[in-house]
Amino acid sequence: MTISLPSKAGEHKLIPIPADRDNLAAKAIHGTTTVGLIVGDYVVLAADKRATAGTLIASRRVKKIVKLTDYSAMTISGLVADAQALADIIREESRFYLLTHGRKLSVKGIATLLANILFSSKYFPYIVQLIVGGYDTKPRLYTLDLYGSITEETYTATGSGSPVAYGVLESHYHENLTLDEAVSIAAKAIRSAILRDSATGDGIDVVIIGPENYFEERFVPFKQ
Amino acid sequence: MALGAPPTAYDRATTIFSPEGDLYQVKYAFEAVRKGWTSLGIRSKEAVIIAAEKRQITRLLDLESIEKIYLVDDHIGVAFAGMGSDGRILIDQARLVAVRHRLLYGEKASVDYVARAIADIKQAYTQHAGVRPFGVSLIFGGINPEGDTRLIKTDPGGQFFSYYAVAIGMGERYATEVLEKEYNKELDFEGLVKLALKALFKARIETSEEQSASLVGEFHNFVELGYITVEKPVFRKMSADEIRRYVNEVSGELTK
Repeated sequence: MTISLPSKAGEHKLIPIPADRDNLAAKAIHGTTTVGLIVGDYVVLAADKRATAGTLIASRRVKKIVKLTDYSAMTISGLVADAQALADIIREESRFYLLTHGRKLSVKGIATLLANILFSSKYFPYIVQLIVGGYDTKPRLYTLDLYGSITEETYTATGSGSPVAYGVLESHYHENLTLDEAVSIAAKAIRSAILRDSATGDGIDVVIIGPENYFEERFVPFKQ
Repeated sequence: MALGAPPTAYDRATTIFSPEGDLYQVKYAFEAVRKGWTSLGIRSKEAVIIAAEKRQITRLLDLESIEKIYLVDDHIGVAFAGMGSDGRILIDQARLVAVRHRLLYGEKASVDYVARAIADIKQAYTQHAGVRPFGVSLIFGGINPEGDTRLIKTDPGGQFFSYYAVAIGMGERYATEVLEKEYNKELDFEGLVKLALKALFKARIETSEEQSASLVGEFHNFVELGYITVEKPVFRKMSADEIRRYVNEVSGELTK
């Protein structure tokens, strides 16, 4: 891909855009662990709080679980600016949907809309990997990648620490967990990632979403 | 047309109000609907019925090929009265609206949403210069994703209202009389179909030269009927055989 930039007066030169956007994507997504799981009537989302820029820890207090509506939230990994822009779009679209349709946009609707936005920017993508969790008629959980693929899950993980987190989820997750057990497993998955992934760290945020706009935010401090 | 003295300058453009606050072109569009073959819709808690009549205006016309009830989406059907060509364009738009909603949100559109989108188009054609209003009313019937029955009429002015039962076209007045008298919210599926046929038959008799005794035997050839139930929320056209069976069942009441 090339773009045209003015160099000398009146003279335009075609310069190549760096073809390493995929590498950039790989780098950006390095630097987070987030998980989501469904248990009973609830969705549990958890994420670490570290932001990195290369080897620098850019922040120790990032909120990686952002509220979209009263009944849904998403975890973000990748470029924070891209994820925030997407979250802003979804917040406005869901409000607009409520006004024009007279009913809430379902969690599937939110995830599908996000997937459409991501796919429409496939050749200049938002560098994000997202978990969308929420409750409409029952708890829902979706994972989206930067090109707009969408899958419905019962438990999932994203980010550089996701292999570690998956290890914990695979061995501990089952559908008959209690909510408290689910929260501690989600926290444990992040905690394990913090211990083995240098780009993940500095505490654990947890969000629990359930029936009737139940929305609880917790912070679990990290202890060695 | 009984509009009194012929309007002068005010019916030359859609966008100019008369001193009485009327848009004459829009009024005329309502007249176009009043000239159309009768269509009607009825709903209860468990089902929605849409019915329409067709007329053999010449024996050379292939009546079977004429459709007055169309599928908009799996869960929405529509009937029209007025200018069929205008109706066809709007129904295509309705199908687009429904399918776009599916694409964008991954879920079915509500009947209200589709009806409103079409009413929005109709409104635009009462306000912009160089266009004429759509000479057609539409009846959307269907089941919303939440599972409740819906029946919505849009008129040429771009208004839309939800109804329990509604009729449009040349027999509007007569069909509505029957519906107002006999409708109740607890009607079951059979009750809805029979009431639809009765109202349609009455409208037909009152707006044509035909005699009820001779019409009743062939009425099923002139009826199109679509339905959807809460139990099985997929909009279907009723087969000719089924329509004939229902017409037979109510034939005694039709000729009363």
